[in-house]
Amino acid sequence: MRNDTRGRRPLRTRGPAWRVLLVAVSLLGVLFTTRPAHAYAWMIRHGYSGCPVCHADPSGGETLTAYGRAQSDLLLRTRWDGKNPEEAEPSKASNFLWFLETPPSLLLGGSVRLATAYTDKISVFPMQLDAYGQLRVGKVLVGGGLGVIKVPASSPYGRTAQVTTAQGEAYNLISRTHYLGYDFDGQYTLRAGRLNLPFGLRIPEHTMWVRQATRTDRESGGQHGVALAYNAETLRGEVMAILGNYQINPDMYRERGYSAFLEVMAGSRAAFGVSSFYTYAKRDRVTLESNIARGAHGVFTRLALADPLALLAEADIMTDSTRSLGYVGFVQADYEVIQGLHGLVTFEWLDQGYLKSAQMQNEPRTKGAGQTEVAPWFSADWFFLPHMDVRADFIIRPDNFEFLGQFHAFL
Amino acid sequence: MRRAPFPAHRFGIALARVAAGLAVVTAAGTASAEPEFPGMIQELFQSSCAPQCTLCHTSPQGGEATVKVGEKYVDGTNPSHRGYGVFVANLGARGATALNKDTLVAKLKLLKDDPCQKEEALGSTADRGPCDSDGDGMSDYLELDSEPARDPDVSGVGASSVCPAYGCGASIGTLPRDADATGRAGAVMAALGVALVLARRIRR
Repeated sequence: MRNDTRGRRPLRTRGPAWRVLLVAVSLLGVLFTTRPAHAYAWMIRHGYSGCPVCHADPSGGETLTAYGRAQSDLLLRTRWDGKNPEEAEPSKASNFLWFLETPPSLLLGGSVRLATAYTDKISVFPMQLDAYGQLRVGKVLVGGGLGVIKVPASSPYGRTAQVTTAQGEAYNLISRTHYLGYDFDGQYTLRAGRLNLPFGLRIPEHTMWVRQATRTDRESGGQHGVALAYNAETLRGEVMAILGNYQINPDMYRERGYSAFLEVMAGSRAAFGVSSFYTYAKRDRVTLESNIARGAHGVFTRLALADPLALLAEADIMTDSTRSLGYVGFVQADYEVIQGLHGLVTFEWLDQGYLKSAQMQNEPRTKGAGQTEVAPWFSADWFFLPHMDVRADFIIRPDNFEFLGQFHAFL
Repeated sequence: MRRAPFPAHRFGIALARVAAGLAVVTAAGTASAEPEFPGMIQELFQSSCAPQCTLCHTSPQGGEATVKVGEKYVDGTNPSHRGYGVFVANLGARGATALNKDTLVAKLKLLKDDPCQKEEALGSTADRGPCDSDGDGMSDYLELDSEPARDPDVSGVGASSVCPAYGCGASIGTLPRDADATGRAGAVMAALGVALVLARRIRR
């Protein structure tokens, strides 16, 4: 293990701080984690409000710190050795590629997701093949990720992160994030580059309406810009000046504006936040409509209702210059049956707003466009080995039923 | 109980409302007459996005009443492959059937090799080249088949049906950068810098 220089609490493998943390973990019992590298309800339980303790990204996601790797091995997965997490040491399997210990200044990671989906037919496909990392030189940070995709020409996924320029169904190199950063004093982090938008809850379900309709998911929603993150004991937030996604051409498709969130800890087991974004583009890359101003503004919360039960919720209103006011949100309950095995029930809702052009033509309001659309998800996620999980989602949306199965290894 | 008489001006207003309603309903029907067309074009050419309605219509909402008209044959005596000089008119003139969702794909495929000017009554038919509605030297078929697609009604790349291109440096031509964007981006960055300085001062 290595010292974690970014977290509030330095980590030493066998030092007092480490032992204190393990004791604290044992007293707090079974944790209510959701998934690794994404949601952090269990950190709330420990009184942590900041994400940098476990992640290179000050607002969470992707590259894990040494501390995050250790916690993943100790607390996230099912322990087959029968040891309590507080009695165990992080195994070598918590290292990069399950064996490689990197220098403290270098964080490496990756994500491989193999998926099978069933709607009207069964398909098997690599959902994610990404490698990422961060190098720290003093207070200067250099980080990002590279991956590979192959999606149909009209696919909404992955395209916006392309580095290579094949537009049809071909293999493309992608980079969802890449940045230069500076850590001012451990609380302020300034980064410039392609970044995840600081908005709402960073959940892994990138197709959930709350992320997809607002285009704030980490799969395709990243933008180039400059962001300032703040992480303190009871307050965290990030504000980003969106300068446009320079992996989309021509310039008229680039959205410019801002995105920001602020989250306050209320006690040790609850956090409440607000987030907002607003962008303008000369033409929308999805609808191809001209002079589009989009925005979303809302609230979110992370709650530990009981030791094994966590609740995540977000509700946003959406503005779009071509539509009436819309709204989107979700509530997700995550119950950890045994350590590493999670059952999740999610309800999401969406009304993107009634198209103004449809209003002029007196066309009927439809679900999702003028009427509320509701969909439940029933999911199970099992972290069965270090840095590996399998997940099943049954998504019942009004226009279709989808089963999604995933094998996920986070390197 | 006796009902109050219905004033004449109210009757007129009601009649106008009914007429307006009928007009809207009728218009709505035509406006969404062929909503499948953009997707069918995208699928045929495997484009990264569907073309806008303005490829064939004067309005982004489409509709039969807004279909672009190409009544005049262009350069009939001086072959230029421009045909009617309007893409949708040249498209409709391919084959002997009317343009609808059953014939769209066949007509689009005919754009590849079918001579644009073959009506002797309209001018010379000596040149057997396929339609190039905007006369920019690239046939309509090849413009749509480009990646990203070009607008066959606008000389050069055009903009009305152009798709976004993905990837670093992916270019669709010489479309100008949004000049205002630089100023806006600069203002936002300056604001962020000021916020950073203020935040640090407050902490001190």
